[in-house]
Amino acid sequence: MHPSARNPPHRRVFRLIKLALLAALILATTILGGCARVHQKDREFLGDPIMQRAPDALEGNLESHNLPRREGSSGGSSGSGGGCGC
Amino acid sequence: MALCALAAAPPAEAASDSDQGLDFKYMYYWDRNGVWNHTPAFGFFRKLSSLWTIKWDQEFDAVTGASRRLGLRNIGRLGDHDLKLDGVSGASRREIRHSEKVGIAYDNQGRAAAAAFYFSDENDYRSYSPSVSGYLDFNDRNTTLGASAALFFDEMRPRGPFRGLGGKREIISLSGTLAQVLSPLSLVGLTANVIHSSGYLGHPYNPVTTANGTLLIEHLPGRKTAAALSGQILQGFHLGERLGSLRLEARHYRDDWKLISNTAEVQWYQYVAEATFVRLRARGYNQGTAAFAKKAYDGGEVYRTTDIRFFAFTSLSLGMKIGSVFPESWEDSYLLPDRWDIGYDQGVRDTKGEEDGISPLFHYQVFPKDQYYMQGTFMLGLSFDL
Repeated sequence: MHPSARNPPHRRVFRLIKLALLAALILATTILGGCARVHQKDREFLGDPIMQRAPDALEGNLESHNLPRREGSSGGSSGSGGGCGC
Repeated sequence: MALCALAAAPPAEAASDSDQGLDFKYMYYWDRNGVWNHTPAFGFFRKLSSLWTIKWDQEFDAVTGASRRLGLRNIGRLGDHDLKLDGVSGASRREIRHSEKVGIAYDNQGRAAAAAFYFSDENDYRSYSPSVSGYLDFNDRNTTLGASAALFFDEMRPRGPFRGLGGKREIISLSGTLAQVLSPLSLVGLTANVIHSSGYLGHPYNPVTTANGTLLIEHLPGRKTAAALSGQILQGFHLGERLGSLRLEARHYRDDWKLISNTAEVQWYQYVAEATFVRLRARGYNQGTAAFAKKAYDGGEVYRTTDIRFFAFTSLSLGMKIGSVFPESWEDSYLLPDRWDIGYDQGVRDTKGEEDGISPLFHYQVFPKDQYYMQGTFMLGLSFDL
């Protein structure tokens, strides 16, 4: 099989886009991490429940436990094991 | 086996300043194969001091079966109704799962740590999992660096026709997180996750049918190492005077079984009244096929599986959630909740059915072959400040 058939151009493009997005995110985090200083008094909105990285922990646990097994996915959640009810 | 995030989550602001509280969730799942799943759960926390908090989560599952092995309800000789073993999967149609998670958390001005122990028990599966996590804020608390580790000691003990198969498995899950506040209304996060599994990693309820009709047991490698990288961008904004937030998340996963998956999710939270919010979300998921997974086997393969989790598919789900508070006059009573939320998500998987027959490979596709697999999840939540 020709190598290009196993790795068609659109897949290489998607891979490049993914790598670029990842590099941009790492770069932004690193660079901005050194200069961004938001003082405590300016964090009124960052403390709001809808601005949290995990706004509803119990819902998050339920979904991360149930969704992958119901959907039948292998890589959609951040851990493995723990039982499934199946 | 099921996937779940059991390592302690990053510290999040509580929805209230109460010293103890109880969250209740009720989840109802259905799919077009007739599978349903009722899952009530609660999470309790109590602050022991300004630094220490104990937590207790409990979850019950009452389930007719997981969608990848069910779908045989009332079909031919397998239509033996509930409470009997399924002739193909060997598993009970109805099953109860119960899990407990107890933990303790420490949080002192940007230095946080947590430890938890999880236990899950069901008819044919048992799991124990200790986990620890730690988070450190620096850069004037604009940057958070975190790490977590979870160990799983699982054992699958099939009953019925598949008795004797199954076995033990051990899973180590490690993750590292970097989060950065960018402005009073924005932050970004990056999480890397490595998972190593060993032992019995299969699912005996997925027998393989060869081209000549022979039924063989599934056989998978005894080890798997997976890695995932996820990025999150959270941007707040004001629509009129109301705060809203847009959350973008992407995740890339790959493992040494050559399975690759990508997830993209967007969530829009918007306050529509002083304490009432609406959340709209969309999630797309795509995965490839594991190196050894085939649509047809001749019986001579080293590894073989028909487990739906190892085959390529794409799914899309759309959902909406509304949350608000109950009247302030209820605050005087412990028995009345303070907050509520209700939501529904509808998912579609690009897996077509097998019309009236049963596929020799995928036993779950019992809906019309010109239609896609559909599923829905309803969630109701009540929160009590005690």
